[in-house]
Amino acid sequence: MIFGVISTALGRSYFDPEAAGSPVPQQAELSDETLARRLQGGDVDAFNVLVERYQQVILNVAYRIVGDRDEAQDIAQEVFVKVYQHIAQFKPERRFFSWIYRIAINTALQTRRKPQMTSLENLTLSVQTPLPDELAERAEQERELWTALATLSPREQALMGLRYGADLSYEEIAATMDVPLGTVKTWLFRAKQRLTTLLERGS
Amino acid sequence: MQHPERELYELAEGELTGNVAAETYAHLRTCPACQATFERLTSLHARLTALPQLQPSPALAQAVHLRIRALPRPGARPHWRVAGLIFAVGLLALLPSLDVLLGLFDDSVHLPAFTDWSGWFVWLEQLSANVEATLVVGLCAVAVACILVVAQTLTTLQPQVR
Repeated sequence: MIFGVISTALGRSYFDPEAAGSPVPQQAELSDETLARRLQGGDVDAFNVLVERYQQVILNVAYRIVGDRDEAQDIAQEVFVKVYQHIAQFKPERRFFSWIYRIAINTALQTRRKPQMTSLENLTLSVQTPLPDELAERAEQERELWTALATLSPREQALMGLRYGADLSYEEIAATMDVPLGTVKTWLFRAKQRLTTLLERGS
Repeated sequence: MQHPERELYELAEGELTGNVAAETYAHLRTCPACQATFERLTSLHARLTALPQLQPSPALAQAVHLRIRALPRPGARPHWRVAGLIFAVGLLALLPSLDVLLGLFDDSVHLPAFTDWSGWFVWLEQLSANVEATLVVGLCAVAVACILVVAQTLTTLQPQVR
């Protein structure tokens, strides 16, 4: 009880992991922006819902950028901690998804892979595990694609992460990156042109 | 119509609609070069879409929850009230020793020169003879309140998240 009084007086609330898996049902139906506003007011359950809602997409956005599962997991973790820590900076008139994706791509780009390292790692993996022909060919194609993706510029990698990791539309990407729709189309067009060239050169 | 290269990229991603899509399709039917490009682009789109989609492990949420336990709750008001309370207690404690405190600023009291260590010892001796416990408590409380205010101000000045 004394701990509770002190904790309340100091304005801190220690999160109960038991409640982590069972957010209040009504919260699950609320919009991201409403949940973010609630989190700004200190509602940790709202945060749980946001984590549950976004963990997969954030993980995949990070994965598309860094190309490593474990690293993607660490980045996703970092993104949610940043959201919790800096939720006061979120402006409710903006869309929450664009804010969190922006944090995700910036965090991922700070730890993005070196192209050569990725190709070597993947190559080692496919060499270690003998695969039937068809699977081996698919693995090889995947390796080529990861290598090509790793050579894109940070902005192009971010675009690919948002487009193929989070499955965002061109409009949503434009909102996230805070640029006009035409710019997103041009950037994607160039990124894919580069990818096509790289893949053709590779094969 | 020239080769609609950019439109082909959008068409391959299913992002082209309306008249432009219809015109591009019409061109595609008659242009073998664009058909080849379109096939390449569709294949690239399929390869990008086919990259593995990761499923988050329960460890992710658990790790996040463990880390946020150590952080202040969002929206938690800074401890201004606690600081204010300590400050008020400090001021109350100082009241009985007001005469001693005012004496410090009395013109008749001359503080020793900064490098005059023996002078400072004598001054401290004289001061401690007049000091009451409440004065010490009061000064400490005021100091603690000031530290709290500074610490909280610093924690609220977080860098912009990117």
